[in-house]
Amino acid sequence: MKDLAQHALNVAEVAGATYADIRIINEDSERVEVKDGQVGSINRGTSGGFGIRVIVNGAWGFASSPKIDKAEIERVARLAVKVAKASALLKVRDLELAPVEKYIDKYVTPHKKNPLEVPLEEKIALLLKTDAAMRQVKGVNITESQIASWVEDQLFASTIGSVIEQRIIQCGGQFSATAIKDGDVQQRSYPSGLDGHYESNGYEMIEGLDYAGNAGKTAEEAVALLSAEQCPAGEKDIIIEGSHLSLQIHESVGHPLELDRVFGSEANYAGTSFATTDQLDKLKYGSDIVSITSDPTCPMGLGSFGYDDEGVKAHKTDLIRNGLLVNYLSSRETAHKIGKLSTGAMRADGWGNMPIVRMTCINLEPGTKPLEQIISETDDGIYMATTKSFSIDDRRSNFQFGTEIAWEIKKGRLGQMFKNATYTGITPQFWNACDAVAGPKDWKVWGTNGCGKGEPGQTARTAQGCAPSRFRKIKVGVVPGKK
Amino acid sequence: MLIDKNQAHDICKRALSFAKEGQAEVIMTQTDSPLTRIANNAIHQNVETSDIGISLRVDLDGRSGRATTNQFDDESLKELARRSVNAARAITGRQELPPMMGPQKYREIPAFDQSSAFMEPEQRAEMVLKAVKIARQEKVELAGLVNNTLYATAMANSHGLFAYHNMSTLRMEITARSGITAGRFARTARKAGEIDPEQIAAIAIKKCLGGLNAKALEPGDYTVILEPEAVTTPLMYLSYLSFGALAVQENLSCLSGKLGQKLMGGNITISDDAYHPLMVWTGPFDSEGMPKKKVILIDKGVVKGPVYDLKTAAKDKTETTGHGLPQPNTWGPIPGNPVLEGGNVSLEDMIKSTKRGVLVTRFWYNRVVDRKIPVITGMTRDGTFLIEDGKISHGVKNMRYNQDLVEFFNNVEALGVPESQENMVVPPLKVNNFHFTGLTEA
Repeated sequence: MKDLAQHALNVAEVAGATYADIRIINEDSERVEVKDGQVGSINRGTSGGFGIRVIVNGAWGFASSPKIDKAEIERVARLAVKVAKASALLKVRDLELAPVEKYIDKYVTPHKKNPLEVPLEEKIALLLKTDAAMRQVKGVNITESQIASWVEDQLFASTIGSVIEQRIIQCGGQFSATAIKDGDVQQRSYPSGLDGHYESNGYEMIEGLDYAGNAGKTAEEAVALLSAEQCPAGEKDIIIEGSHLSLQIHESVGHPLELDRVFGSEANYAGTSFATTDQLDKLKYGSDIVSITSDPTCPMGLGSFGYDDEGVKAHKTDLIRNGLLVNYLSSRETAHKIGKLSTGAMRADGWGNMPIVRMTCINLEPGTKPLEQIISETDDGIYMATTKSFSIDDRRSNFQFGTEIAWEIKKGRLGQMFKNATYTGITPQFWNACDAVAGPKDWKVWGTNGCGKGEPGQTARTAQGCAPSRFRKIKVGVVPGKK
Repeated sequence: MLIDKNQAHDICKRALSFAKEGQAEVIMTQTDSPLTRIANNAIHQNVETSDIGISLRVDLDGRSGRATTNQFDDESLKELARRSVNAARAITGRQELPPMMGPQKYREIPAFDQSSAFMEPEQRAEMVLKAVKIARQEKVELAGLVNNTLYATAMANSHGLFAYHNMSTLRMEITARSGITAGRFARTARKAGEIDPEQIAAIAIKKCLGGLNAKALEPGDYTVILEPEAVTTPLMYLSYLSFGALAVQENLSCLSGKLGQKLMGGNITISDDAYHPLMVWTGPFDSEGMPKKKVILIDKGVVKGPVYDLKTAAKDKTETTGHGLPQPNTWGPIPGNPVLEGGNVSLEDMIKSTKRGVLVTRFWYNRVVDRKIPVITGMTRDGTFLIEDGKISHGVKNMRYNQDLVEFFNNVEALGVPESQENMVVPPLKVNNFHFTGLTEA
């Protein structure tokens, strides 16, 4: 493979490329689903191919193919050069890249058990046991559970001499119970909402989640929500549980700080950002206790790796330091425009896509107090948990989120359960209203599977580390007409 | 290079030949989708991508396993079969599986055109050059894309079923920007010559310039006039959430228990129709190999019924409508080609008849707030304007909405002439009492 990669780079250079890189990838995947006491589906996938990225006449070109042989690599390398020449017909200036060191290295996700080597029978048994435990709870109508795994082998080579081999191992999953009565549909999920929680890790992370042990309580909460009060509306102090706060970070910090969208590259699709570069080192993004980093070296983080997809070594970077915007998620191209080095955030969806700036592990650094203390110091508030809905505008400013469940906080204690909790806000106002972040004991890195961006559309697996945090005077209960 | 019917047949046959146990079914897809992307009046991404997918389902004694690959040499197909069989063998207990059917007859949908299937990068560059030339004159910046797609799909099973379809499209999207103000227009066509880059750019630029110095509008209930791209949002969410038979059977749909009842306004007729002459992204069979039928979902506001796959049809003792996803699955059938029947009121007349309202180009980041009612939320984007006394008054800052979709389709005052929106056909709409609940600064 290394010979083929080198040959591709040579062909590209002979054809006129001033820079070229190639990624040859094979990704194996597996998804097992159980629904209502039966195996819903099993899909074992494999996808292989390569993508070549070149600069010719100061412009990018990219071409890819699933067929890995010498003749095809030559054809695709020349095609990438042809594409770049077409790009150069409409450019403002020649591309310039921030420097990167040459690396010859190997990286493997730290793990104990390769999830694809764990027998399917074991996964099915776990899911069926979980499903059965949920179905024992009276009033539950629909039960679903799943485990998904990926093992990606990647060879990266570039004309600056880097040759990097990586094996990224990821897995995770979720289960949920849905209760339906008189037109009301309520769902509880574990360990998180949407499609679940994932890590760059071995199958031991699934074992550590204790699916079966948490199934009964999750199902009971789904049923209890049917008779719970509607979450009240008004300005409230809210404490947000970690798995949902993770998505809040993803949407209102991670995305707005992607430097390609700040520069307008996503204006036609994912949008732009309110956090423009003239505000670097000036914008008070959050309160003094809000410090957020990009850390692809974060253990178990779904956005962790050894090197990004243009050969930048993974490293931790401050994005927001004590509330102040100090950097962006960047690539070599975008970092050069602000006079910095790349933060190592270029990632591609498989072999067939050109890398774009993506989240790595975007971590809200932990505070000092335990969660219990933050709750005890809250006189009148709401504790919200597990993502149910999420929406944010195309400049990442106005957002609305909903959670599966919430509890009243009165005089420092959790009280009655609420359903249909929602809250809304404007990003910097929201983060400036943060007055407590729980400490390391409650801190966890949550994984988001399936973040969409780019044209052609790409999905990425990212992570956000955080501990439950409190936000003062947030507008809660914003949906009109809810029963 | 297009994988034609004979080549597809050969690939499917070889894949099936390695599945030596039980019943087998194979789905093959080919997607070649080169895309030229612009931002800030320059090409910043330009890609030539191509992939195929081969998905093999093997059923053994009532247990089903599936594996996928993008390699179709014999060794890869042999491994594909091994993985499918192993997956099926691992299953404990039986599954409720739909049967694999024998040969079917399909209505042909001519959906392939050489001009959109095969384009050189220089041709796409030429199209964006034309658009950017106008933008430079108007001192705005364009973002957008030109994307030509060649798609082929084939399906076969061990009962002799074989189906093949191919199609091609050319899409151009333009977002014109000036500061934080944006305007957008997009078109998809079968023939490359039907896409006019200058016209698309001109419309997007006009929206952008018309929206400069946007003013904030107090959130509340407004009459809205929705351009067709905006109409795709409520129709798509209603279709995916509510119009599939599994959602109805599970009591998760607003149609559940409402068959034959009036649910929406008398001016609302919704169908799923893969054969509609304006449908661009379409095909004549589903992922079970069953022919797609035209299905009336809502007829003059009355619930007629959902779309079915083989499994949900058996439960309701009816026939599939040809809307199945690859089996087995936990999603059930969905309508892939929703059509909202239109009227004859022009967008201009809708505006003229509006004392005070909001014109919406499109919605963005739409998500489900309530699954069953259903309620969705999202933002306006890329051209939102206040209408006063029958005229567009000025641009307004983008607004958040939260909207009950059944209520929405009860409040439609006027419908325009339907137009193609890729896999949908929708008219512009005038809708009363639309719920805006928040706003942003752009």
